[in-house]
Amino acid sequence: METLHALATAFAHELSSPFGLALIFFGVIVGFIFGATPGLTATMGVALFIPLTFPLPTDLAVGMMIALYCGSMAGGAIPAILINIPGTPSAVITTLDGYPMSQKGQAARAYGWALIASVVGGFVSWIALVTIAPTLARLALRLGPAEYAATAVLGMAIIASVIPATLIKGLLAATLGVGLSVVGLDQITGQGRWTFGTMSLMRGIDIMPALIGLLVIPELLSSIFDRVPRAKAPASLAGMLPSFREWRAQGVNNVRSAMIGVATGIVPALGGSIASLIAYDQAKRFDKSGDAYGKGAPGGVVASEAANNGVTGGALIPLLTLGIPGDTVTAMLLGGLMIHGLQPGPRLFETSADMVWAILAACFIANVLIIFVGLLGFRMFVKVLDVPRHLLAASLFVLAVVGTYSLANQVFDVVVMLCLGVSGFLLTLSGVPVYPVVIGVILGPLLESEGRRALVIGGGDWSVFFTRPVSAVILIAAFAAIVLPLAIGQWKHFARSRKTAPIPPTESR
Amino acid sequence: MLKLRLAASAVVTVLLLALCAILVGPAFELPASAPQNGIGAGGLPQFTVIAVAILAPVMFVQDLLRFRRTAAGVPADEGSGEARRVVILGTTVLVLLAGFVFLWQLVSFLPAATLFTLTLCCILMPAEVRSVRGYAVAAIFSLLFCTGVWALFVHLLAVPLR
Repeated sequence: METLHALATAFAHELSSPFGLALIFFGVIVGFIFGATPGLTATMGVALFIPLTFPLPTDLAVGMMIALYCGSMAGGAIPAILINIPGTPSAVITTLDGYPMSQKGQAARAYGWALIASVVGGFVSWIALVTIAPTLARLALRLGPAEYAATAVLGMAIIASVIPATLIKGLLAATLGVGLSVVGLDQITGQGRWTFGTMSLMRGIDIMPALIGLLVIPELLSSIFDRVPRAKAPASLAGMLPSFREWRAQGVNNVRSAMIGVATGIVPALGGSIASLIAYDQAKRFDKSGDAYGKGAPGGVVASEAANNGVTGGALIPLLTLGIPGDTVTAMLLGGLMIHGLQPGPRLFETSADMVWAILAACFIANVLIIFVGLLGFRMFVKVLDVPRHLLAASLFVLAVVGTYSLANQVFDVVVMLCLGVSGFLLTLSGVPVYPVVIGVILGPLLESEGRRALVIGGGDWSVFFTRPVSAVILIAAFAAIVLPLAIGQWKHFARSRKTAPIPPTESR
Repeated sequence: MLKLRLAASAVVTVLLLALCAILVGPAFELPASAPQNGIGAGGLPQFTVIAVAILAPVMFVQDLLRFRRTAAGVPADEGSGEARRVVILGTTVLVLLAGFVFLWQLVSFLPAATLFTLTLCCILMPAEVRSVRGYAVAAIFSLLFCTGVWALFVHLLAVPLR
């Protein structure tokens, strides 16, 4: 009841502000453009548009950023269907059936399915967000410093183990992030750490220059390495949207895939592409015409798009309740929230409840607007694919530099961003993922401050992390997150080698 | 691409070890423990330096072993053209970016940004667009875009772009 009342107030506030609605609409359009352009991602979109939100009130600014996030997820399907290249990494599975449909002359139809699935996925994830997040935040408020420190360890352990690289690389990346987070004055003693006597380093490495350097610069660089073919919009958009009867046949697939997206989004670092893959696999398994998957089955498009849009709400749950971003876009959103004076975490629901509910209402409105923007703007978004890449890339680099400078009007931030951009590029080339570095930067201060506080409360007794049941369970989960994938890998390797080993000749008596 | 990854892994390992060598002194100057068994200001920096110094070489050894395993059946020059393109283009863009920031301090934002955008446009321009018209479009675009960004940030967002 309390939730419904808070939501009703937030909706009334959002809907009574034409400017706020216009900003959400603008966010969805920009999101679609970033999603529809291969090489440009939602992460880039949010990062580059954060400076534009400076003069805006916090709720409007965050609403626009959330709308951009939701729009980009839906827009990623356009190039996936038309030119077989996903607009965002999470739309990669959409290419499997979307492009074959396009080759059969059903591009508009495939896009219609993608749009409907995206919107349904968005709504399912929104329902999960508004029901799970407040409850989780209330539970998280009962946690003490030991549990918070353990949660930070769990976040980093999960990310280090689930990213598509070796565990060593994941751990190295997370450690590098923690290392970056300790630069500056110590929070408790005020001693300088790796400041080398410079004033600029004393205030530490701000989160946004680090995020832009580590996430946006390597992504922009990889976008200029890609060669993208030209796209052609379908001649007719007639019959684009499926009828209700047709959708009902895909309804279970749509909702199931969205729920897979939500569950995957909650686990940090898994992201939309993994969610789409799992949902696609399940859809193929349950569908009677599973053999048609990969050859232009609408069910494949529905599964992929519902799952990657389901991730949006899922990824916002750990961000808003624990301050742990679920993916790179929510990491960028975290930076945006902090710039506007909000500190994501369990206390956010207490200290800025109005703001949180406004964010949730904006998320819902953005999903409604996706239908209109997606339908009316389809031809325009196809045209975006024809914008010369050399002009686009150059302009985005300028925006990244200016955006970083404008955060604090400091050239030093730009230098930090560039240094981390070079590091991110080198790390990407060597196969070290940059996302755990980002998470290390974000969770490092939480780990250190809460860990130290727990030890002060426990009188310096390190067993405080294991004697408190919740902390112990979280730490065991962190340990399992690192050890289990290794053990499973070893077991599979052992089973495979046993299968392929030559059968010893039977002894003759 | 396999060679590129191994080479990058080697460079990253060397750079990280060099960084550890620089940071180890300041990290160990700080106390690792606080009174009553707590964590001191140097605790996390010391842990980070030690962990990176161990993990970086292990990563390189892993990459080397994987390279030996997978490179056996792959022709030596496979993907080398693409790898060269990635390295040259990536390095050029990063050097240009650094040059842009340096020039910004010398001649103010607008000329530096316009020059950077134009140079990058010309470098990334596909062969089929390279003509007088193509370069003219790039020049006009660079000037208009940078002026637009400058006007937006200075006048609307009140960011003092010098």
